[in-house]
Amino acid sequence: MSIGEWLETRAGGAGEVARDLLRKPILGGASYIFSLGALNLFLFINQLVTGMFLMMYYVPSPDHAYGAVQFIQKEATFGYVVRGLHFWGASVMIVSLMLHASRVFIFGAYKKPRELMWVSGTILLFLVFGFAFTGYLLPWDQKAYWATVVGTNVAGTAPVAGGLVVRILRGGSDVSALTLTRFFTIHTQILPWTLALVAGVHLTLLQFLGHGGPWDLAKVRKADPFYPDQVFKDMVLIFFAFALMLALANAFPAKLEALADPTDHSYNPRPEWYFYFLFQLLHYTEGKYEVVGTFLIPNIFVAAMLLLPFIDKSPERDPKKRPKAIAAWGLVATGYMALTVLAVVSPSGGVAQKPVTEGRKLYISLGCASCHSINGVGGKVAPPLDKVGTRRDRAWLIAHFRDPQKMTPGSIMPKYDQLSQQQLEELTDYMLSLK
Amino acid sequence: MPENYSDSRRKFLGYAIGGIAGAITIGYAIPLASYLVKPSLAKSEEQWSLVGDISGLGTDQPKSFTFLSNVKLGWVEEKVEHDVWVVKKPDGTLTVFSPVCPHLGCGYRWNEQSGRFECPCHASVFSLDGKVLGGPAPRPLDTLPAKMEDGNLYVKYEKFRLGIATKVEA
Repeated sequence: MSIGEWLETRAGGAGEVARDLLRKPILGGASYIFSLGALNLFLFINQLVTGMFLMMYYVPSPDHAYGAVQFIQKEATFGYVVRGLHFWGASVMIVSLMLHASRVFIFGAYKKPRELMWVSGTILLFLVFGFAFTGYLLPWDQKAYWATVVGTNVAGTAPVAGGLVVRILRGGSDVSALTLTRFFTIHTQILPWTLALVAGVHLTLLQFLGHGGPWDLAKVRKADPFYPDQVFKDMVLIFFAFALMLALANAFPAKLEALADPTDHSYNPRPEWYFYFLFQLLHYTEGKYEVVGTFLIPNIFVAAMLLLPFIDKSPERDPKKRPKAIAAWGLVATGYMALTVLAVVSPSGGVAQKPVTEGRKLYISLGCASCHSINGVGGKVAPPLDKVGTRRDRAWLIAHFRDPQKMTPGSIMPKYDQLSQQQLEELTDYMLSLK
Repeated sequence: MPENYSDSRRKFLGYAIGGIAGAITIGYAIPLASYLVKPSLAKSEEQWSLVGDISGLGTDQPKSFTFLSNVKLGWVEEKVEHDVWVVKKPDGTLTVFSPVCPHLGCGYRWNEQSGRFECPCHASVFSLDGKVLGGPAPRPLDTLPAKMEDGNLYVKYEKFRLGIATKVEA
């Protein structure tokens, strides 16, 4: 008896069911445009596998997270590939999901009887945005910290429950160790299991309802079997996506900025590109209208997506005969892309301020805090440096670093004339930022 | 089945699918396996650790000294407590023994009455100079690199594979 026969008997007819599914006809013939769903499944598996390997060296604690990610990126063999595939996989997945949703929309494939496939697919899309948002914080670098501060504050503008929502998201009043463990659990446990479940529903429905096919089924003359014709095209697309992610991971390694610093107000937080639309939207909706950008528009969009098949109930699938629907899609797609492009080209908002990160690093590495204090943290031997930026100017500070006794007779501070001019400037930038 | 469908085309596509899937699998397997295995094989360069002043040590009277070593494991750098057995010979030279029994890694002790090192786990017995006098231990006690500087003893705390007859770095 062959292994195949042995399995056949032990699986109790499951083999026949599987073969039936593989033989299912793809109406209108196999096409790359029908491969986007398979690509999404592959990208999800990519995130799962690389995510598991990242967890092998990761610790969800502010003490260790940054060092661990640095270890993965710089020291662990091929760590930059594993993290790069995860990082770029997220971007490729967002693009692929949007293309898939657009394809289904334009082909009118969300209509009866496939309403629940659309609803479950929409839920999957938003779950992926949830992954993107919670994944941010995990490296605990500047971008992680500040994008999460801003992102959770966006949720906080929600009417009535906003304050409560922010606290629940953060696990307290501030972005802290409690936020990190919370986001880690959401990112690595709650969302993956939920996504797997909803994806299971989405794919089961696909098996029972069959593929939507082209919009004009009456004209269909041709059909290819799912295996091998469609599977071959799926694999080709998946291969190119994998090659692209691998190339991106090598050419543009996932970034790791400086360690998160809650006191550095010179940092300009910017989200990843896929959240640029919201970032840019918030530039236009200020003051009392802010809630329009942070709450109203996003929630109307979510509701419209979920309810789409119940609002648009006409059985017509041909895009040429659905001008309103296609116009709505065009508006959303153009709006998303336009806001994204505007965010890319526009300079960071706010007053341009020199980053003081380097100066702060010097302050820490030189041990200034063993004598001086800022906000009550540090030694008490020397004067506190709060508001030193309002008391002294650049020339005085630099001269003072070089020779404290010349500027303040009797000072016990050691000379820092071993620092380079650039280091003195950086340290002075930091001093002047303390206001 | 559509008319244009032939068995050879089906076979060809089947092989192509398998080939692409195989290539992608290898594309993942190489970085993932290296990522898993290679950092585990990294040898840490042992530094000299200060054990301290051993002027009070009597001849042929082994004593256990505890000290701190800087250890870097992945991204974590910490001070780890270690201990060693130090024996001063009649000619004044020092022998430093790893505190790990070369059989299966238990901590052995010095028995003053018998004048031997004895392991509590499987009753291996060693002489003052580390030779196996009895029990399952496959090799003598492991000696560690040691040096004297300004009256202080410095030791490199190395680790060796256990349960084998030769002393090989772990």
